[in-house]
Amino acid sequence: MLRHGDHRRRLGHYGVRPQGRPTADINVTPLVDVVLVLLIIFMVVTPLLDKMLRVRVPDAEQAERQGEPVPQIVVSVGKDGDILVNTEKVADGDYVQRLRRAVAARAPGDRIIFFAADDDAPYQRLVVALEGGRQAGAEVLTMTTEPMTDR
Amino acid sequence: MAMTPGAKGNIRSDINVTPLVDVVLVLLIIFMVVTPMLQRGKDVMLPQAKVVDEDPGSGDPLILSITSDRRVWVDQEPYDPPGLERRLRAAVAAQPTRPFLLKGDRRVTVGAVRRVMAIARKAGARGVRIAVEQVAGPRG
Repeated sequence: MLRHGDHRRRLGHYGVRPQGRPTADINVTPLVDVVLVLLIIFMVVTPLLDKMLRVRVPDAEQAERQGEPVPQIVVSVGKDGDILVNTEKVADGDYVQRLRRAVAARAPGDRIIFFAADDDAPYQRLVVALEGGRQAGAEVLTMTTEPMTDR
Repeated sequence: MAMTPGAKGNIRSDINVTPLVDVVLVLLIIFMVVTPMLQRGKDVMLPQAKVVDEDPGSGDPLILSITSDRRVWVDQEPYDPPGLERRLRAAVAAQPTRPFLLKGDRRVTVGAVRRVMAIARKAGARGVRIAVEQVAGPRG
């Protein structure tokens, strides 16, 4: 008892000592548990979230009224999935480069690419074409919603 | 209990369940938040792309799905073309800035997707978002 009382008095003398003692024993286990669970769940869920490409659908009549004083960049996807830039067939490897040159030639603010695809073309090929347009630096990707006519 | 040694036979009412409760509550909340997001639209094989657009965050999109049998769905309900146009018109009227997210199966042909886009345009949409599955790796 005496010794205990001594001890308390001694601590009292230093005042802040009990709080100033390094506390290496904070229990971080619950924190780590929660954070790990969060981490794992976000790792699983993130690839499942919807990724997207934004595509504009123009008013077709309006586009026709405006006419085409300046030649536009038109990307077509053929029946077999082949990609044409302004009616010139390009290989997949050259597609983005070819498109990038065409896009760079246009003024900023007017970097629009028009896409038209054959109804029988695989949808995946249209997405490849659209993705390439985005890679080439196009500001707006526009998809014509009229059936593509053979030219 | 009678057969166990006395020291172990003591009733331990002080097991710390706090970490367990923490983890379970977090799991519960996360699944509550995530489940509606994963159930949106039909289950389709999305086309793959390496480059995707940032989500401009202009609100919760209306999910249009085209399944591999070429049927069109809004959320979980199937629609025929005239019904779809009415449905989309109503959606545009209710909230003009609400984006459409078009989840087309990668196995369909462009025609099925184009027809839905044409209907969206007729209904007053200025654009659609094409849902893709982002894949990693170099192009080619």
